[in-house]
Amino acid sequence: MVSLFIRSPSSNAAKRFRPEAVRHQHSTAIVEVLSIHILRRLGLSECNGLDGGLVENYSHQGLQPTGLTPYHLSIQPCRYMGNSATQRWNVVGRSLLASVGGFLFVSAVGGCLALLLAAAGLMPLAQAVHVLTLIGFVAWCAVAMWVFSAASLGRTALKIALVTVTALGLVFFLRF
Amino acid sequence: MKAQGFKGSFRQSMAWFHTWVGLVLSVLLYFIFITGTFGYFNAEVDQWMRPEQKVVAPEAMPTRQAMAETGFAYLRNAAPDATRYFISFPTDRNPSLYYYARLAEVGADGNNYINGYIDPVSGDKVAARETGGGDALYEMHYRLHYMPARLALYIVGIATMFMFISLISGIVIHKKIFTDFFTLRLRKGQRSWLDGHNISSVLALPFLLMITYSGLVFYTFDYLPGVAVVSMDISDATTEIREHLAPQFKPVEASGEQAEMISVRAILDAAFVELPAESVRYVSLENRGDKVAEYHIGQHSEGLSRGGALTKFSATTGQLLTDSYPAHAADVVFARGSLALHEGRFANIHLRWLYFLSGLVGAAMVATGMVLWADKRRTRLGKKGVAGSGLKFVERTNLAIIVGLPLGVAAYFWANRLLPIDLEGRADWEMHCLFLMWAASLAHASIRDLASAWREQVTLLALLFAALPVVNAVTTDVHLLATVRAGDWVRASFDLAALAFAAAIWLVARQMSPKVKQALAGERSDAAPVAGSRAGAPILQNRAD
Repeated sequence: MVSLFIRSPSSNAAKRFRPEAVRHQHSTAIVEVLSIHILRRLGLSECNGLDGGLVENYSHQGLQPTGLTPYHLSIQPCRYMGNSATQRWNVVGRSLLASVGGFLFVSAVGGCLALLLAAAGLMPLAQAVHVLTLIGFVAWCAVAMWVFSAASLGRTALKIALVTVTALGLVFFLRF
Repeated sequence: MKAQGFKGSFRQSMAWFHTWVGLVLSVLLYFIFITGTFGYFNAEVDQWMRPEQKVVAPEAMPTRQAMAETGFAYLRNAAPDATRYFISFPTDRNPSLYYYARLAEVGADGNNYINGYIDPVSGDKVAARETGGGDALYEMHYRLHYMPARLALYIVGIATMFMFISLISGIVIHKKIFTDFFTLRLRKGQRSWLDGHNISSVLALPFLLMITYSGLVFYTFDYLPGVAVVSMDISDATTEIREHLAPQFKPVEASGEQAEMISVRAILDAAFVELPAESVRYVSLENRGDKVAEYHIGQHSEGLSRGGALTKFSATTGQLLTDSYPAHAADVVFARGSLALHEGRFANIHLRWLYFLSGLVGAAMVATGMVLWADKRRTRLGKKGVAGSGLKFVERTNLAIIVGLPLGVAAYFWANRLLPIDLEGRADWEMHCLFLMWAASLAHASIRDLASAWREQVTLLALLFAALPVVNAVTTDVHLLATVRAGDWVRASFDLAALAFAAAIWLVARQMSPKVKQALAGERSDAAPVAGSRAGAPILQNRAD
């Protein structure tokens, strides 16, 4: 059974719900899927923007298809589709970036700011280090959330690496 | 069009993140919450677990000077070569004198210290049964068990950071935080678990944020040494930071020259000219026997800060060295305030109960999250779906963790009363009993069908706590009637709390019976799939997410 209907691309739901492959095939329409059967059959559950929770939410809200539309689903697999190994490596990569990368990022930026605060005479170095370490836990948390919300793992890693290296360069300049 | 994020929108990504960050170390977090919650009544639990310990009426309590003399006299016999003596005076919560001595060399037991309790009136060591008491129970929340303390510290630190991230991401994904505060739909299956998870997290949110963040502050530089490593010379960092955090505790190196010590009574007599005696919490003798030895007199903390004022006297001349220090910087005040909030030592009995209940609510939040995760997967399967071995494992371990750990705690209390008094390594065996019961819970959950296992274990938990005052009455003379009659409300409260907890568990068991039936239905469907599915429940057989 196919339970699909077409909604305007400007609707909020459509903004949140964009199977890549569907969009490429039908550029003028966004397909909103109200049954998880079809997602599973197409192997779309691993796509960006799709998850069972969202579909369940829709069914909880009592949304029903406006009518069963005969629809020929000539959809190409999207790039994430069914590739659970890729997904797993993506999660492993993000976990490493959030933990190790986050630690290095917070250490480098915190250390750099501590040296700057001490150099500016705002507080002794030991106090600056303590303050920035206390803030560091919150910053580390923020970095982890950023890593797990960003679209691209590679671009996020690059940004973190750039800031970390720049901060370490400043530390080198300030200390030696 | 650009993809929005890892799992769709920011909120969707955070929902996924919240689920997994919370789930990965949920077992450890539940353990930390349950054992840590006992920290708010560790002294009271200690008293109950040491029934031989006498309670001295306040009017019969000797003076601070007399108690200090008694304590130091005991230590001179027990540890004549020790370099540090420490005596902590009895409080409302602990009726005995606590002693500690740092030995010059490691003793036969592998420790370089001795510690214990002394009767403040007789001066004898409290001849109580060997027990880990409330301290051993609550110390597990940061030391764990059966592993090196340092390793445990880091494992707990990682779990705490996970908890912190989980809380913040949980707030981000919460659209209706105010509504959820008042929403609890009972007997609605998965919806009830979700409501329970939401209400427990929203209700105790300030407590949870405070307890988690301050848990990180306890070991700030162990958990996040990077800032100091990057910006300071390693050789100086420890000293500089220690002096910044606690200038009053700057260690003094021993000179190596022997000297005669002034008596502790003389020092306290001099100190009490200025200080009210009841404000003094402890007295210690540092670098004992050395020319640079000092008496340190510590006061109870005032207000929201960990550690009170400290007065130092020379132990050789009796001269007042210092009783005032530079004011702490704002960051140190913040950190000490965080630690004080975490431990709640400033709290009176009412606030202590609130802490205790908040800790239990935190444990409930973790537990409902664990159940919710498994229940969601079970619901998605529907009646026709076949649960994989992973889901079955999670459902059974959920039971063994959520009910198994309190069962272990009950076993710990039972062991305190039932193990032979002269058993070698008695305190260790009490703890072994906790973990043996926990393992038995897991074994039981593995071999029984899930619904029966839930019912039986919850019933056993209620029975074990309900029978605890009875076991206490049979094995000791500090039973409930005796303690109530004697006005020993600390021990009486323990028995009463056990009864109240048993009653609460019984009520919960009755409330959850429809849920148990639902779980039972889920179990049976694995064995014999039926046609059709529940309305609104998608049928998925080939994916586990």
